[in-house]
Amino acid sequence: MDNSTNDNAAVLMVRYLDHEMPVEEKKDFEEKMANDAHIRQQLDDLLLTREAIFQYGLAQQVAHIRQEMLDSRADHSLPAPKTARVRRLIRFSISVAATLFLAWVSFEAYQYFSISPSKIFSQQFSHYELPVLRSTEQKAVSELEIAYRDKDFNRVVKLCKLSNPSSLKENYLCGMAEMELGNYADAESTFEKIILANETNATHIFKDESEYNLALAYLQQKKYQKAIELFNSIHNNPFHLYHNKVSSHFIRSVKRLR
Amino acid sequence: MEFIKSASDTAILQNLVTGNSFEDTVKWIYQEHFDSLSWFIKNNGGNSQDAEDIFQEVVVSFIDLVKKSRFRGESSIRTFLFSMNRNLWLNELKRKGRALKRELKYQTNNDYTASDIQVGIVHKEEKEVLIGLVEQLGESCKKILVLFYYGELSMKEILERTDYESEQVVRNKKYKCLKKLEAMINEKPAIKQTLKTLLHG
Repeated sequence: MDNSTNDNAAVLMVRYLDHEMPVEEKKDFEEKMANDAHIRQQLDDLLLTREAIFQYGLAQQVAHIRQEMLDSRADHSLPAPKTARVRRLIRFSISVAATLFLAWVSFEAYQYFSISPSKIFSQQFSHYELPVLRSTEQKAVSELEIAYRDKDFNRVVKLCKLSNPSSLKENYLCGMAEMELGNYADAESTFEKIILANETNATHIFKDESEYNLALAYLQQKKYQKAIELFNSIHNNPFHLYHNKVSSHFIRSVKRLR
Repeated sequence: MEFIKSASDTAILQNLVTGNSFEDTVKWIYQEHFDSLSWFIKNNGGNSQDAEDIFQEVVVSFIDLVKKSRFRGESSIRTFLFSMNRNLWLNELKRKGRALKRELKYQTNNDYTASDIQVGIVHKEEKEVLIGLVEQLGESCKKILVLFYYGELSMKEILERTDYESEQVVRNKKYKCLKKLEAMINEKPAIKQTLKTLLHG
């Protein structure tokens, strides 16, 4: 069997796995599978792969919930033991704990005095790069998008103000251009508009990106409470595009700015 | 939250199977059971971190069993989780080459859960290797595969959460990522065996 035949068979297998076959095609496929051990083996391998993804997803989701729960819990302590040997152990443990505590205090003090909105922003902000277009797609690109691809952010902002684009993608480019230019108040308005449009229309077009960058725009304008609320909501959503960029440690850093 | 205050085992199991109020349900399990189960571990040679790690594994394994209809419901959820917690901790101690100097407290003779719990125990370490394997896929592959196969989102919904040009592009990417993971799993017979047991029992 040559490579293209193998690839077609593999694609067919995935379609079957994903329940994307019409009834008749599925029936034919199942008949073929009943008589072909090799196909059954291939399907088994795919089922195992799907199981791996399920186990990963479940572990991640529970880990996320765990972290939320544990962040809000007080520490439990065991009752104090009474033997002399254990008392010596406790004294030793206290001295180790004191040393670690001093180290932690020094680290936290360093963090406290060295942290700033600009520093956090520079660490967290990602420039938005448009995907490369095929030649057939290039003709349909708007002037605004061309300006963005050329990184002419001043021109992007000018075009945004002149044309008041309706597409969420172009609005997103406007918002990101504002961010690149440091016009955080304007970026805030644009991202809020995108988020509201998505909520109104029950869509999800550049919604995650807008939420994340809106939070950064709040940060740069020292609107810390709003930034923290938005970062918290991103952190609490394991399916958010920026979930991995907003850790508990990061949120604590932002809270120190208040 | 009325549900949390009055949740019955039936309601909990139903929510875990259907995915309704899933996060609230898992939080309820934590609220109701974490303290007692963690106390057990901390009084039997473990520390807070051990208790947290083991409890998380208990919850993941329990949900997995429920979703695959392998939780027979012959005892309460509390009893089942306790048994699983105890057995996972014993296994962890053996793995670390540690033995308890005194008898474990609260021994029970409920062996009916032994085979179900054993599945969770035997493969805990392999699960950690499995998680590490999936992590190697890279962010874009992980995201698409988890959203589709775990989150059960449609191509359209995944497209809205990603930066691809069309549903077909997402579908193509998903296919490549799936085949990549399949190849990685095929290179690790031990992982493959673990997955077979997790999937088929």
